[in-house]
Order: sequence, then structure tokens, then C-alpha cells
Amino acid sequence: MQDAARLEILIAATAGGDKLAFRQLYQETSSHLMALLLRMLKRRDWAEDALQDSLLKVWRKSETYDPGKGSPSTWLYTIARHRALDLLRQRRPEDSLTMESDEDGTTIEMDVVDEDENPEARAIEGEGMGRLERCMKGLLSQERKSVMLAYYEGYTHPELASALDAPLGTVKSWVRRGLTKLRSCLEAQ
Amino acid sequence: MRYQNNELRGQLAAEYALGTLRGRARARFEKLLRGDAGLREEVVFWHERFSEFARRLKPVAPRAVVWASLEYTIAADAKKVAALPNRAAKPPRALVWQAWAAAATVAAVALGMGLQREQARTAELVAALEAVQNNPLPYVAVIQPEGGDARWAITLHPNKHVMRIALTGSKMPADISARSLELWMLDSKGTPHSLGLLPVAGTSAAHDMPLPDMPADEMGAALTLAISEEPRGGSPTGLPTGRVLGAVPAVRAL
Repeated sequence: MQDAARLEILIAATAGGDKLAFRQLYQETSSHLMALLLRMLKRRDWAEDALQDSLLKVWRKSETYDPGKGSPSTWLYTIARHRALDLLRQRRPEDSLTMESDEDGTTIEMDVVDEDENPEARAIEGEGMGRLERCMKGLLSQERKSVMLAYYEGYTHPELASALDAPLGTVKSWVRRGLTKLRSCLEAQ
Repeated sequence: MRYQNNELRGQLAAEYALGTLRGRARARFEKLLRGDAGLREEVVFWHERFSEFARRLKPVAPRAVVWASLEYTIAADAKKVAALPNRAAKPPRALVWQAWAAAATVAAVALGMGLQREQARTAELVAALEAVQNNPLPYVAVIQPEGGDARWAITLHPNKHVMRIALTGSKMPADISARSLELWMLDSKGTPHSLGLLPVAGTSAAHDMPLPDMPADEMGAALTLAISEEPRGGSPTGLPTGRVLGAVPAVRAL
């Protein structure tokens, strides 16, 4: 995506109801957001629906963007990802079975996972290597898979347990340890 | 509650951003977030880092229908625009020339749907007339930028390489002692082509000026003209470098 200062200006102008600025914002960000949505939702029509919903939210909520709380591209990606997660929640439930709450009081759902998928391999596609990617290399394979499946597929702990064929408690500790390692690696850079 | 534990706070923020914090735990965490700036910063940290997963994916262009549908929806959101004062008085400051691709849409919006349909019919009529006359019709447009009362009525004769510009009003939209106003034609890709400097207050009202060659394949029923503010003497780069003061459609005059 374009540089942050420029996106901030476009978002600010969009907040003022400037359709021209919004169109420009769309032109500069839609293919990037689409890439994430397609990666998460797998289907072009779903991804385009989600893109439209996300950008409508951007149009309607652009005045809530605060540059002090993160970069504009992260704000846009976060909106898009949340929309994709919502859709995944809605579209997976026929495969899900609701379980009892875990010790955090979380309501647990478990999905049937497509065995043929190899999310990690697909996640490696793309260019360049940033800090996160370098730090991801420091994780054990199962920790890395857990984090990636949670990010790209929106998997919950029980879904991860099912996908990775491991007990819930084990999967939770993979996620926890993975994130702890990432935190210290990212801070060190 | 255990939220005072720093390690746990960091862990929950990470799992919240990753999405593995769910259900009531998520709702509780969100409630805490509202009153805890430190926790919000931690979540921002993770959102920023995780967005790298998205950034490294290759862009995929959505189909045009997505924008068309959005545009239709936001057109119905006119209330929002009406409710916000002064938006026209405060255009974004630093939209550089890349933004010009979008300036073309100002013209499209100004035309409106009905007029656009009208134009499609006009295009056929124009083609028929030109075939008979073998004498292309000129393009006409009127630009009155915000911030002044100056209006430029512009007639372009591409085949004769002449443009006639009539200026009315005297209050310029920019400080003309320091800046020049440059006229541009935007092609269908939004790339600006300089047509020359605009006459400003203090000169006589009607001007015939040489018109540079315009891209022949862009000479349809309508094109887009725009004005930018440039250093004295015009853009040093051949592309707009300053503020865009206005953009309007120029249509074939019947």
C-alpha cells in the first residue's frame, strides 16, 4: 500500500465526505485488501463481498480512524480481517459443534477441517521478508502453524486442535509459546 | 482479576489481535480495553505486526463491480455529506499529481447519471454530424474553482490547434503574484497533459491561445479539464506539482 501519510490524508478527506478521496483510497488499497480477503475466504465472490462491506465501513467510519492508534494500512487490514472472520463464523457453523466453555469462559466451537489444505505453504507465498516473517522462523513448526492458521483461517483453539490433530491444551500452549517468542523477537529488532 | 499480571496482559492482547481470544473472554477483554490505554497500545503493537502477514500477499484486483456497487451505496449516503460542514472549503492539502486519476471522477460526478446517458446519445449524434461536416466540433467547459470568483469559459478546437479562453470575475483562487495557473487535459487513464497557462485577472477578457496536440484516441464526446496551481511559468516537470483547484468535464458543443 501507499505511504502512511498519503493514506491518512485520504482517510481524513473521506471522513469529510469527500467521495473523490474515497475513490482514490479504494484504488490504492482494494487490491491489497482483496489479497488478504481472498486468502482468508478462498472464494472470489465471498472476498469481493467482504471487500465491499469493509470499504463501506471505511466510508462510514473513517472519522473514527486515529493515526495515534496505528498506521492507516493496519487499520484497513484490521477492518477487512474482522469482516472476513465474521463471515467465516457465519459460514462455518454447519460444520461446527459447540462445546462447553473452556477455563477462560470462552465458548468453544470446533470445525471440520479440510485435510487437503496446507495453509502454511500458501502463507509463504508473496514477496519480501519483514520482521514478523524473520521472527516466525524462530518458532517451532507447530507453533508457527498454529499462529498462521489462526491468522489466515481465523481458527479458534478447538479448531486448531482439530486441524493439527492435537489436544486442546497442547494447541493452546503452542499458540501461547509462539506468541511469547514472537514478542521477544520483535522487541529485540 | 488476573489482568494486572503483565505477562498475562501481553498474552491476552496478542491472542485478542490474533483472534484466538473468543466468546466471553473476548468480551471481557474488550471492556477492559476501553479503560486501559496500556492494553490498547499492546493490541495496536500486535495489529501492526500481524498486518505483515497481509502485506506480503500479492495484490489481487477486485472486479469493477465492487467499486460500482460501493459507489451506488455511498451515493445514497448523501446525508453524511450534508451533515458535515465546510467539506468543500477544506480539500485535502497534499494530494499530489497521482491523485489526478481520480480528479477525472469529479467530472464524472459533476455530469451526473442523466447527463451521462444524454452524452452517450450525444456521442452518436456528434459522430454523425462530424461525418457530414468533416469539421470536428469544439469542446467547451467552464471552470470556477473554489476560493475566488474567477470563471474561465474554455473552448478547445483540437483540429485547429487553438483554444479560446474567456475570463470573468477578478478574484483568483490562488496568489497569482507568486503562482501560475495551469490548464490540463486528463486522459482516460487520468494522466494529465498540459494545455498551457490560464490567463489571469488584469489581462484582457478573451484570449485565443495555441492548443498543443492532444492524444487523438482520447477525443471522444467528452474529456476532462483541470486546473492546478504551479510555480510561476508553469510546472517545471510537465506534470502537475501543486494543488488541484478544479476539474470539470468538457463536452462537444452542438
